[in-house]
Amino acid sequence: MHTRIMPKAEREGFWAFVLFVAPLITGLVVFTVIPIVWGLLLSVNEARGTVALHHFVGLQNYILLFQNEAFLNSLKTILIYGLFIVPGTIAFSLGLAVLITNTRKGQGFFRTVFFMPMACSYVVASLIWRMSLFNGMRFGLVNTVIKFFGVAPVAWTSTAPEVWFPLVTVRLWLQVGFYMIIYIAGIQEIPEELYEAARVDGAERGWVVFRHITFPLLRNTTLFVLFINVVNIFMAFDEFYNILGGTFSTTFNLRLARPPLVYLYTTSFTAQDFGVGSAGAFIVAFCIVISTLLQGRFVGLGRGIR
Amino acid sequence: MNKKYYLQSVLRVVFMGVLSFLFLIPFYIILRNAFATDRMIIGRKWMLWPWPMHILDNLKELFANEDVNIFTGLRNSAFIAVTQTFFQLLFASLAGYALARIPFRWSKQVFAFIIATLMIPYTVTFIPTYIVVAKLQMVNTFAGIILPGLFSTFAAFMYRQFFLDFPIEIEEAGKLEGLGYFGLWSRLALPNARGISIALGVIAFMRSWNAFLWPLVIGQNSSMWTIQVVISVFLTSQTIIIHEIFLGSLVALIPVTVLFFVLQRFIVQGITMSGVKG
Amino acid sequence: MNKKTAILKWLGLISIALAFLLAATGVFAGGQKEKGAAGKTTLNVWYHQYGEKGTHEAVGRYAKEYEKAHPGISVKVSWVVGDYNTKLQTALAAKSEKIDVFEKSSVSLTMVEAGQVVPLDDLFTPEVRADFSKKAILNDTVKGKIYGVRMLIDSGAFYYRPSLMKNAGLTEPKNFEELYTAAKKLTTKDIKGLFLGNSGGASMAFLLPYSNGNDKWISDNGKSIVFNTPQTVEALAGLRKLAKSGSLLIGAPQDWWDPSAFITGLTAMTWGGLWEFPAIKKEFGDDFNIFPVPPFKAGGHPATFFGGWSEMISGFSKNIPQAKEYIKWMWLDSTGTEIQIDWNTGYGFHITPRKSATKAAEKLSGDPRAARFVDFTGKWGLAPSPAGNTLWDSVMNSAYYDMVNKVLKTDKPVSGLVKDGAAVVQKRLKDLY
Repeated sequence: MHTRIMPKAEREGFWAFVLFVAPLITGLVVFTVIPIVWGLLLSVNEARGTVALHHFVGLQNYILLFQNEAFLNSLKTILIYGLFIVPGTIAFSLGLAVLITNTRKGQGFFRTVFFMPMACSYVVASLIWRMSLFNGMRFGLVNTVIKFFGVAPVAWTSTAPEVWFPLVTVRLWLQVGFYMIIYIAGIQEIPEELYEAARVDGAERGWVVFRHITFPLLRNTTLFVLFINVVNIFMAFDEFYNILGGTFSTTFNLRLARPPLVYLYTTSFTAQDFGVGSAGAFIVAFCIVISTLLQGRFVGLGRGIR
Repeated sequence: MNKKYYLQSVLRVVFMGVLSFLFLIPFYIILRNAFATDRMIIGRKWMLWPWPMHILDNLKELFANEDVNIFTGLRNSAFIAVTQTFFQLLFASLAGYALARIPFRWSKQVFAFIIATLMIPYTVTFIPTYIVVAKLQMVNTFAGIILPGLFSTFAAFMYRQFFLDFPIEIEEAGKLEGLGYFGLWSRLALPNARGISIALGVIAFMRSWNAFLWPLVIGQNSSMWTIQVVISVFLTSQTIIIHEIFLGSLVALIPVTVLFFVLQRFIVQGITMSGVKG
Repeated sequence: MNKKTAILKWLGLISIALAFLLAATGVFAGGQKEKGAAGKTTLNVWYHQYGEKGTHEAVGRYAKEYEKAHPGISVKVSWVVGDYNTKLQTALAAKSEKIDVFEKSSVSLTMVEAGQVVPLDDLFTPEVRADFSKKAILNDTVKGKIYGVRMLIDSGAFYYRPSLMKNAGLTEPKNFEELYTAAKKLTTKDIKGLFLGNSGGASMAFLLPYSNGNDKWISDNGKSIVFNTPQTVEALAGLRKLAKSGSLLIGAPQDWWDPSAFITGLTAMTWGGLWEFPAIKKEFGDDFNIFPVPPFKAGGHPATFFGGWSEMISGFSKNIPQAKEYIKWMWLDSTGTEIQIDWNTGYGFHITPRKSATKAAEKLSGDPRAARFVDFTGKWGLAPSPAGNTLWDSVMNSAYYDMVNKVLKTDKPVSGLVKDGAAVVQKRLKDLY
């Protein structure tokens, strides 16, 4: 066997490695891999109202989805959303991180304020957004504010393209603080000498320093934020579902902006079509893999993660 | 020069003050709505603050509700979140350490496998996972709610990055003293990973605390409901009791916010020490 | 420290951890074990959470009464809060044996073919049939077999305040044009004329064509889609005109199924459910009235939806005969009359599926407005909900709403949109068989 020809140190390492990763891998196999494989099999079966595998249909579920205008539109929707969220998150969290690390007093306060939304669930945040903040009546907070500028009330969650305001702001509010912390951590790792050298060269702490020192040295942090964000965007569900529909609301308004996971959720849980639902989820997974590979190709993700 | 710098920092503080104000508005709304009546919340004009405040009435309605017991919900959530956080960190730190430090032929492949599971949307795994849990006879048990959430690939990934940067000299010294891998992990690596453990722990705790669909689907008896499930009682097919949802959310928010206030210093330190950096 | 002790320590840690986990979950789970004494059959009955006060207690009381009358049976009620549908579908897809009886608002061919429900035709004896709402039976019938026993009937109407109508010089609208005019005239700077829900008209997607005489969406033989008619096109064009008139309320904090938009005076008229009747009556007393969707024009007819909830038996139950006996006792025996009246009118406001119960229910026959509600629901409720045929499934429904969305949000000719929509739905119908 393998172990016999291995040198002693490696043999030791072998067993240690196996023991160390065993709990995680076992758990992943039972609760993630088996379900994924099952889902993959479901995606090539007709499975209506059941998740049993006894009606193989090949790629039919996938073909059905590619012919489906609503599903294709949902992919478009998520791309638009990503175009708002990913750059927005990076810009906001990086900007806040730079500002906070340059502030002498109250760092802890600002960090806490911007991170606090993390504690809030998407369900609660959506309710705040839908009922109070972006409520379509005159008494909604945003409508009250824009009234000062003479703008008429807007039905934020019932009309496109206005609907993107609540959708984008809710996610930014919830997640910017988290990425800000990651950026702060990155900034603190930048050697102080670099800034001192810049000062000697006559550059103040300002835009120039940011462009030539801070931003380039945060490259790996940015790549990490980018990677996690892209994965999460494709899986966006809660803010759409809860702001535009909700468990007990009519889901009609989701047609204003329906991301793939919401579409697939209704396919699986309302229509009980688990075959098509799984096929769609794998198409989404495929999009995630492709976008990750593209990031690797063009901005060198992977090299950053080592 | 000095004057310009002074002006800059004043501007910065003002700007951040305005942003903080905007970021705090949703919390203000939670407080406002929690102590108002539904009529006040959807009144004719934006109400700055509910007057008279319905603190006692609303609290009584929430805590004396016959359908749900919010204390049970808080207890269940605390138990589930603590257990999930502890085991997530334990398993992830073990795996992360092995991936970073123990030479192994297939190490890369194992790592790639872990990253790959990050990319599959949960809609595909939801029902199969339910069936696995059902086959293990764990529907309607705490084990069924807790177990699937113990294995965090994200945490394992972060630990790996952290341990990759952990000074190898310290471990060399440890090895000379006769420590095996377990000893290295438990005596040297883990104690030095306190920061990142706290950071990942807070994230894990918040995720677990805010989870809704899985605890709802697995926990049938009201004695197993988590705080999030309890809150959903006020959102039914016929009505939404707005103030109670917000008051419930406020109650649910308090423990996590306190936790964060206490630990926030460590969170930054923790991530600083992980490998995700410049 | 040598390697052996290290590994031992490692194993020790893991086993302590596992022991802790098992102990903790065991301690908590211990109390959940079913108490059912030897020889007792436990019936697991699932309800979704009703919003009305007292319904949870009522369900518990019925269960107690049933246990008293049937010593061999214990009834375990699960009152499911939150996302009932997802939870139920998950359990059914996993063929869970832990549900015997559950609630559902409609039955689908998918459920039947997957064996999730069992036929209950034997419960519908001729006497029961004679006393039971025909539309309610139709609602739970797939391909000639009955799969559910309706517990309550819901429907909708336009609520308005006669005082406001009078001030504007209007009377109750008799056709769509009058409804349109009323909505327009009642609209002021602060109040919109009509609330059809935050979707801005989707609640009328079926009812308006129906009121214009498009009575079918699927042909009787279940083979073809037949809603592409001039009546549908005309009605949906009317809906578009209404949606663009500026007299509809959209963006309200709550949707049409909650009375708050009407009660707080955001709108002068609203589309609303029967269940909102008590709250609105409490608010406005005599100064409110109701009417169904009026006939679209001459030749049309009134319209409303025919909703509600039915009890069904899971095909994966191990206690099907006992479950049938339970449903029979609950809703069809003489005990059922009392329970139906209590359940439908004791807490909220719904129509009893049994005609005898409806007559006996003071709240349903006492108020002339309520009586009118009962009357037009029976006559003009579109059953089975939502499209007059139980073969109409949620995929078709979603495609249909996609089409209505385009009607409401674009300026493309309605006839073309309806034609395209019908083709999409037709494809789904074909895929199903």
